[in-house]
Amino acid sequence: MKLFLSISCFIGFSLAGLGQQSFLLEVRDAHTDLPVTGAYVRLLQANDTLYTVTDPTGRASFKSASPGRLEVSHISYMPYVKEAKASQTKLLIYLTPSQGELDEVVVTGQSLPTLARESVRRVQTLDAKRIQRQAAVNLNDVLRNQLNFQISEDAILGSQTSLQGLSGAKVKILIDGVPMLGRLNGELDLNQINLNDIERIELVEGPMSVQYGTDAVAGTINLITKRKATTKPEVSLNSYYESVGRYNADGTIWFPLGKWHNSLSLGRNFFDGFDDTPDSRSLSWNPKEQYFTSIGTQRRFKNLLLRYRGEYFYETITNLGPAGSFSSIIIPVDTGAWVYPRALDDYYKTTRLNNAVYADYYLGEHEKINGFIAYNHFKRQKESVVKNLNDGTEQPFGGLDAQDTTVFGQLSSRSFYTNTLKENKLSYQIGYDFFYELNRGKRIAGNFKTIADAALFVSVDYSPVSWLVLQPGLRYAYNSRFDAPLITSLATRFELDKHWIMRASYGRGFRAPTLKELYFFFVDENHNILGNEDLTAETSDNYQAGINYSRQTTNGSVSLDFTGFFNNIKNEIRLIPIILPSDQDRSGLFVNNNIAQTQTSGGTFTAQYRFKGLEAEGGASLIGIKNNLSFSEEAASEDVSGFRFNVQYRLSVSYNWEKAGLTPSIFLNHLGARKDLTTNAEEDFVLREFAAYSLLDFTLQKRMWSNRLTLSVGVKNLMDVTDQQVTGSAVGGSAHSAGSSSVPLSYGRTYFGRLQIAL
Amino acid sequence: MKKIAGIILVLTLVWSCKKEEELLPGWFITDQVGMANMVSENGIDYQNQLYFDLGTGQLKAQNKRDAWDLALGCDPDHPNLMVNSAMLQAVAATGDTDFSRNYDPSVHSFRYESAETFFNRGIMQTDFGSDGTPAGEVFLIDLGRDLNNQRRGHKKLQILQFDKGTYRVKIANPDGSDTQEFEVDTDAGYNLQFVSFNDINTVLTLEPLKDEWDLHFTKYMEKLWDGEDTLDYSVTGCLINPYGCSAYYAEDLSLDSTISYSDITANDIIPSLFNTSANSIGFDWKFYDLDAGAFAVLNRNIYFVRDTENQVYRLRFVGFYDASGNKGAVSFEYLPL
Repeated sequence: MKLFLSISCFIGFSLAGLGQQSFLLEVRDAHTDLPVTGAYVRLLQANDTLYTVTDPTGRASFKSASPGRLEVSHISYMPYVKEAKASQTKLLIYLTPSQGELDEVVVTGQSLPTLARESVRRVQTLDAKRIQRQAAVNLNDVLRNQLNFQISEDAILGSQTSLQGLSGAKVKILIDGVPMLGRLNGELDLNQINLNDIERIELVEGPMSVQYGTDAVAGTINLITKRKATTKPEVSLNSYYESVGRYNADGTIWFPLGKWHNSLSLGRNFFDGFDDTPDSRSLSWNPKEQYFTSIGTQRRFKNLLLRYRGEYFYETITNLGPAGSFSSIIIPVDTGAWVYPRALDDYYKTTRLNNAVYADYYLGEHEKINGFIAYNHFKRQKESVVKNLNDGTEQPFGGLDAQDTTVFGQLSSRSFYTNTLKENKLSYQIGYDFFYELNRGKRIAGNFKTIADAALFVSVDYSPVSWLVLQPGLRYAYNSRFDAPLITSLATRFELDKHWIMRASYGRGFRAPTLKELYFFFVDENHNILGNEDLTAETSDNYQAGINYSRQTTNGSVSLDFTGFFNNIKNEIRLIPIILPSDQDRSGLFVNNNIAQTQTSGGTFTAQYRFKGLEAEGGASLIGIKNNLSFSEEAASEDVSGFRFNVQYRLSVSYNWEKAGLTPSIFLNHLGARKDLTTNAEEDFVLREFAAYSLLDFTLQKRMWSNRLTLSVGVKNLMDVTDQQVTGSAVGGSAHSAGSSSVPLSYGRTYFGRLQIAL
Repeated sequence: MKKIAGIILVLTLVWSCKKEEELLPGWFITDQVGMANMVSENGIDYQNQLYFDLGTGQLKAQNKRDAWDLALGCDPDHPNLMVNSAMLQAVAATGDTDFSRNYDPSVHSFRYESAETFFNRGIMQTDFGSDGTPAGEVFLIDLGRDLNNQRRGHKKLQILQFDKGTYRVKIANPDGSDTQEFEVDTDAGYNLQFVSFNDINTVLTLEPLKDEWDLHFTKYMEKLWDGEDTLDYSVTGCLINPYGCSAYYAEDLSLDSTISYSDITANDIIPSLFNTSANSIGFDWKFYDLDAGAFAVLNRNIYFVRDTENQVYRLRFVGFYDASGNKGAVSFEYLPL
């Protein structure tokens, strides 16, 4: 009957003189609302089958269309099937990205969304499936199980990472391409980067300073937020409990309002702290409470896609002092005195406010403009209070640095124009990157400073022959505070055959001196420490080469990858003594200077295997570090000037038992012992060895209620690793001393449960 | 409805809050309690210098530490001059007796008054011969820093005469400007009397009579080993009266965690350890806890003090902050044994 009606309608149209009606189709990504290029469209009609492929604007058309069955397929998306009605002359189709296949679409450093396999640079993705299977709450949880990353923990500053042996200060972290603000001592707290609103994480190792500017030295982490262009409201709820005392809950609603696609998400993460010693007031893992919310809206106006995302985050870390950590109150009476214990407690409050407006504008079939303008605000308050443990009253403590507020504000914008002059042959990208940052806080001369940076960048994709792509890039910048370096890069991709791809690149990266490094000011009776207005950027040269083998079969796929790298970082900023403290001048004078050099080198091997429900991923990496001390003549004479290598192994296996709705997974990450060259108080070299450790997680997922409800349970840190032993042994000199200590890694083995509901 | 109930259930399951902390009881100490409040106003640390008497349990005198620049020994047979370490003042001996010369402070090396011989022997005491006659060497004085930590410049000083407790002193700016001469007639009932360079004609009696106090709380300069070198540091602590007081830190008792402070008796005293150095109690009964960002008092550090009346006390420090959390509010407990 329906068919009959359709046909009747169609006939009706035809009769109205629209017989040669063309049928226009537009295919877009259901998450990003961006056009899907190269989708294969099939229209099965009663008497014929028509084929076409979508163009770069995601459009395709059939000259003469009669009703039939429409099939749209693309290697990176779930197949789409629809009965096309004859009444339709235009049809908008949303394709849902498929996950975990070899061909994932990536955007980091790309002019257009590109298949990871076809990207000139190697882009790794950690998708929603991986995040879910690992039951990861924040970025720290995911990177803990990633090759070439090493996580360190600080009770106050949170979780920090190093990549390819370089500190987190040299890792750029972006949310949808917008740089994250709020580096304290150069590092971002990975615990503050929640993944509840994150679709996938894209990782690029090696510098991306041409596109992303400062800090993109060791690598770039781009978090891609969840986006859904739905026609009816959808709700997802997520709750998480971990036996150490974590209680998390969050929820998101996606809803259309007219032509606007909107989302609202709310969440709270609570951790009640942990310590080995029961009933200890001072905890080695501080209690934390986070509240976060985000709103998003997007709309397409013909060739323009506009999107806004706003995000608010508030965290309180409570650092309680041990009972009696502060002088007791003494109240004298006639026969003696009453003593009441007090403690010194600190509260660290972090507020983040991120706002960004994105625009994608299609000028024509081969021209496109992408850009954003964003304002980010970051505030970190330290409040120290003296608590009377007898009556519970608190009052602000007036000690040095007991009360401190640091504020960062950043207005930033990056836009670029992409023009494909010749399909698959020559395209270029030209754009600008701008930011204006302000920093308010103690220990900055005048307590307030600003910095502005404007850069132009250009990159070209040139494919002289079908198997070779060359991608040169150039960035020229003006900075209001220092001479910004000229940044160049050259990436190449060789498609040796269908299965083998080789990539090689050279890139320059830089890390700009922060306002604090430029204008540090700490002068009192016992200190004389200054920044340095003449600082320049730290620069790095990165060489990278890799080869990838991949093969896809009907039931599975296999991929092998080997990559080697070498980083040479110069002009690293360090605090150096200009005047050593002496009897005449007790504080001396310490000033920041571009003085240090570090080299790292290494290689990574990864293998992925998928067969039916089985997914296995394993890898090994070797990272060598030669730090600044290794370059001294003394180091050469003591024979400690070489690279120090450490190994890392990683394995994850999961099996999707579709029929039972069960997915068990294990994640293993082994970090080998690592050595580090330092000096002791007597200026003798000390080799510190950080002991090896392994992190092993097990999770089991159960899907119910036609996949709308997912229950995950599991064990994290099954081997109950808590600390990393550090032993130091002096090199050379007459005295051979050895010391031993440990650094915290984790609070040990925990059990978790997680419930996710999608309505 | 069921769905909503389910959602609420899920959310409440994972909702937890900080637990209210249980309050702790106070405790009573039966020893006498002494307090020396050096807490400053307007954000300036350790403004006060205080004199405490153990026998009466009284604070005998106190003054702002910027009240004086020159201390003069009151013993008619032992002349002595000192500058104010609490203001980071220091002295350089020029080796020259020509007061009219223009002295450049930057070429001279300055020293702080020693904590050990505090009150007894200042740097400028070397100028006095065995008969008490000054040699007339010109000393340069670094006036240190004022309460706002600003440098105060330099003076040159020459001792002209000493006669049975009466000093004649000449001071001027290093270039010779603002030359002034003054005479101080000291009272032998005190250890020290004082003069401020702002008003050289007034003799200041800041210290109580010398047999009426035992402990002096002040900022002073101490030589500390930083692992490479001895450096001068400004510390805040407790100095003892040179007139009859002695004290020592009972290290063995302090380190023995099986001994309770309240069980310490006269039998625990080792008389041979009593030391008359001014800094025998000193400043290190507290330390700066970098993690906490505050001073922590080592209340396990046990001291024995013999006062001017020859009574021995056990003493330990218990606090360094006042009720509002300001540093410099020293409290200690002590008991005659």
